[in-house]
Amino acid sequence: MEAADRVFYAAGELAGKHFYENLITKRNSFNEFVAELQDVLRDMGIGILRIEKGDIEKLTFTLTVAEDLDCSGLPACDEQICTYDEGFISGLLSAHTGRKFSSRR
Amino acid sequence: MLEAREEDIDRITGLFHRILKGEIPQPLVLPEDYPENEIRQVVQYANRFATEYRALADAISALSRGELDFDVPTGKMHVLQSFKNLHANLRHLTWKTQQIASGDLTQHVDFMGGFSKAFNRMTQQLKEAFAKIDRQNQDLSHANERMKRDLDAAARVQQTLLPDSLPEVQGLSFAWSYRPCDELAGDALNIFRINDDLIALYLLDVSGHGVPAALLSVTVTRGLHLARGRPHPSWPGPGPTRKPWIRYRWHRR
Repeated sequence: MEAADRVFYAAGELAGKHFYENLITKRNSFNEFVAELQDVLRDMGIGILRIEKGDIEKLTFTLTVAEDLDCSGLPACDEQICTYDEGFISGLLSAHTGRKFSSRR
Repeated sequence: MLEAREEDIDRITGLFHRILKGEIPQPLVLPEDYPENEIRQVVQYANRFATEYRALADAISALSRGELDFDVPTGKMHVLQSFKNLHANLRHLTWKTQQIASGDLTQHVDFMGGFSKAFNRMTQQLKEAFAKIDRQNQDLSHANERMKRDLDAAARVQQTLLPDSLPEVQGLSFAWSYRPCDELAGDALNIFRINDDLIALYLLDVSGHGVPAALLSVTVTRGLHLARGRPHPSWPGPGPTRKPWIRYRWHRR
């Protein structure tokens, strides 16, 4: 299970990086990046991004993605399988800031 | 065949009764030697429900007091998920408002229908108002620059009316200094030779500063300069009957 999680996380991270490189145009400021990211995620039906807290200096963020990639529509199996999303968010933020991010559900 | 004691059923009923009465009940405790049966199972579920209900009740209570900085209770109950959603939206709204307050007017919200429309409209209006203020500031700045250039030019003209050379007199030396407190001064001075015996010195001190005072002093200075080139009735003569503004008589030895 842990090995599968790592694969999902790495896949999400790669997707996040490419998502940023190909679909995000406003890269000069974090706020503009967030505003555009919200629009793109919503318009593509991927999810609703909400930043709950953000400290750009400490590079710590609390955010939620509702109706996200792999948690929505899954059959109830008593397990949360959200590692792909964690990787995806991590890839996006790392691509924007140039710093390595780790995201935790 | 399950044999349930009436008092156990009553305790379980009592737990839900207290919840419905608005109380927050404590979990039920069964004796350790209580048999592993359906009653124990019902008590376990009732306790789980009561625990999640208590956590949710505490969180909703905090939210109703306007507090947002707390950990949202987790669980799979639909009501918990919905509460998490509401909490996340409100915290996101707070974050958005903070960004707008710090000057980022590109942010907009998609939450609570009519509220988000009004909020986004307010942000848009702020953006337009700030843009208008910026444009007005720019216009003012340009007008100010033009005015400053004109005043500088006027000040340069005014400087040309000040003495460009001083009379040379044995045993005397003249010096002057002219420091306007604004761009344009209301004062003027000059020292010049009238003839072999007379040196004229005048100091104009016009009441006030700025353009009106400068215009008046320039007009008077101009009149005095003209008077230097030809006889003028107002120009001081050598006799005591005509009083010059300021007259310095120098006797050559």
